[in-house]
Amino acid sequence: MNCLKAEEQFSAYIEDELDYQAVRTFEAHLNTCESCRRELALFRESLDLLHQLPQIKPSTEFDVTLQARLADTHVESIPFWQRVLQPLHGQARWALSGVAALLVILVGFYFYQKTLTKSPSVDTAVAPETSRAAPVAKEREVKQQLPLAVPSQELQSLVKFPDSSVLDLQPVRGSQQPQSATLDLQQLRGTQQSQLPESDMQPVPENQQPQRVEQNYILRTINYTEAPTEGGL
Amino acid sequence: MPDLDDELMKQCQQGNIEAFDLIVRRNQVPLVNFIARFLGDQDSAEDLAQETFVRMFKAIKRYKSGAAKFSTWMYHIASNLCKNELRNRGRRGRFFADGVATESSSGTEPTEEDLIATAPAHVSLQPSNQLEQKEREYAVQSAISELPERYRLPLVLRDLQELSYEEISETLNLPLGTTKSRINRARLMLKDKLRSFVESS
Repeated sequence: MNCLKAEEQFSAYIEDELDYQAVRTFEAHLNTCESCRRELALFRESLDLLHQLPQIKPSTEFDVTLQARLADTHVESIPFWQRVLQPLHGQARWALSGVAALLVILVGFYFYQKTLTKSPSVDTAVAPETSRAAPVAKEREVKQQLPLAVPSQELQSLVKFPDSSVLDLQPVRGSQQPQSATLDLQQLRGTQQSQLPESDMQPVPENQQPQRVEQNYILRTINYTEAPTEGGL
Repeated sequence: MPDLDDELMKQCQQGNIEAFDLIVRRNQVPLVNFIARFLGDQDSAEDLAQETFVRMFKAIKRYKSGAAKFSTWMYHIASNLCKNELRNRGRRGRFFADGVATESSSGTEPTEEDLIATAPAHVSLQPSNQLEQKEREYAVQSAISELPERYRLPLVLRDLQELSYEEISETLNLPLGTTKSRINRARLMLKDKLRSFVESS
């Protein structure tokens, strides 16, 4: 131990706050250091002088003046938020503050969203209906309003249809429901029929029944209409 | 053992404002002593002690029983007022005795006439020890007043008001280790300032 370290322990030593080992080290230094012994003695004497300072008594006017000042003073009331927070300490107060901040953020986000949905934009006015409502249901609704598909003149020339009335495509009945629906989709997607490659259009043998021909045609278009999803049409 | 001042504050909070008179009577002497020794000026000390009581009275409803000792709360308010007072004065090492300003940092010993002229009224006037006691008090008060504020406050609270290290730590919002080291440092500085007085006497 050096003299500087010894000085740092003067208070702890005279107030018996050092542990046994620290006391032995401190006293071992004192035994070998004349300067520290002298300084410690001076340290004690100056503290004694401090403790001997006489007590100061307040003047006789102290009470009178204080009572006059207190008479003009009112006890302050505590605001509501302080009354709520006052009983809380440490983590509880932080947790409550965090919850309050989160609530403010959520309420703010809610009103922000509400403002967005109320804006007069065309996109936002239409999109929610088409995108959020079941798209399939909407498509069915459109299909009911559209006229049934009628092959173009070009197709009619390529394929021999026995009777144009057959192409009224009313046979949407029973087990053939999906085929009819697919044809309607074809119609919804525009004039793809006119762009059909000839290789896809297999002529129907003449000996087949008209109803069968119609079904053949439908099956072909099914193959074709499924193709765009893969081919990117 | 319950703190009596704490109980009195609870009564004040329940509407018994007269209990505050008891608090004033119990604490005015230590409070005036603390401020007077810190500032070296009894007149200012009384004014600031009254201001401390006024602030405590205003804040009766804010007082948190059990959160800290009453004395810690009181000395915390008084310490802040003392620090503000020092800043307002804008100078250090100047102290007063019974309203008579005395320069303590001139480096010259006060004359016998100075000591008698500035003798506080509370000092015992017995002829045998009057001068000696006054001289001692003058020297010690000068040494205290010359300490920097950050060392003077904990020293006065510890060695004159006899607060524990923990209470001083709470009062000044300082870590316990810092409080202890500051008090030891303040005592070492005081020792150096009183060296010539002790060695000469």
